[in-house]
Amino acid sequence: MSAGRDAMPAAFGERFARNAAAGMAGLGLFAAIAVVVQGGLFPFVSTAACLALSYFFRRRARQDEAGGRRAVEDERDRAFVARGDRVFRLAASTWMVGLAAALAVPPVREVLAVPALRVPGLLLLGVAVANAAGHATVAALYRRDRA
Amino acid sequence: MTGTPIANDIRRLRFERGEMTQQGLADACGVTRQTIIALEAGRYAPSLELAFRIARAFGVGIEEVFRWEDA
Repeated sequence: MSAGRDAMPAAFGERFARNAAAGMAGLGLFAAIAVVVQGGLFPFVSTAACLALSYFFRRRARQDEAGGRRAVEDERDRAFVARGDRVFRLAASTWMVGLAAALAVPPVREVLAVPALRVPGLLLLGVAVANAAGHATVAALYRRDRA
Repeated sequence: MTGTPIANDIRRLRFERGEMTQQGLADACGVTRQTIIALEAGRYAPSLELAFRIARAFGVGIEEVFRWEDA
């Protein structure tokens, strides 16, 4: 490795954020179709399980990456993740408040409440969308920093 | 995290230490190579703890590695 010119390789955090953003976007699409539109119970449970386990996906990926004594993440990565977390909170809050506001309007409430799993499905969809937004933000921050 | 006013001489100090690699410095400080690259490019301002770690890795004082540069 030269001490001179430096091409910055993609960090673990960047690769994970890219994959997680794509995964969460796919999960959100799946939830929108299979849970919100079609009202399937199994898709609802599997989407909820994926979201509940998403924290452990990162831990597992980090363990796989950490082979030797080299650092996999540090304070710079944590700063990116913290900004992604802020976007997640903002997106999740906006989604929940929007859904709550929609449910407060009687005609909308009737439309949303007819299939049993529509509202729970919309809640799960909101979490998936917020997760995708958070991971995409982290990936974008890494990308901007490498440019 | 861009355009930090904290400049540094990490690259020069690496060369003066027998062309210490970025990975070598990263390992000595417990950070990733990407962070060393970002520091050298002036795109990242380190925490006080990391600044001290880097200075210790070179065996110099923190003021010999980092300095404040007015824009």
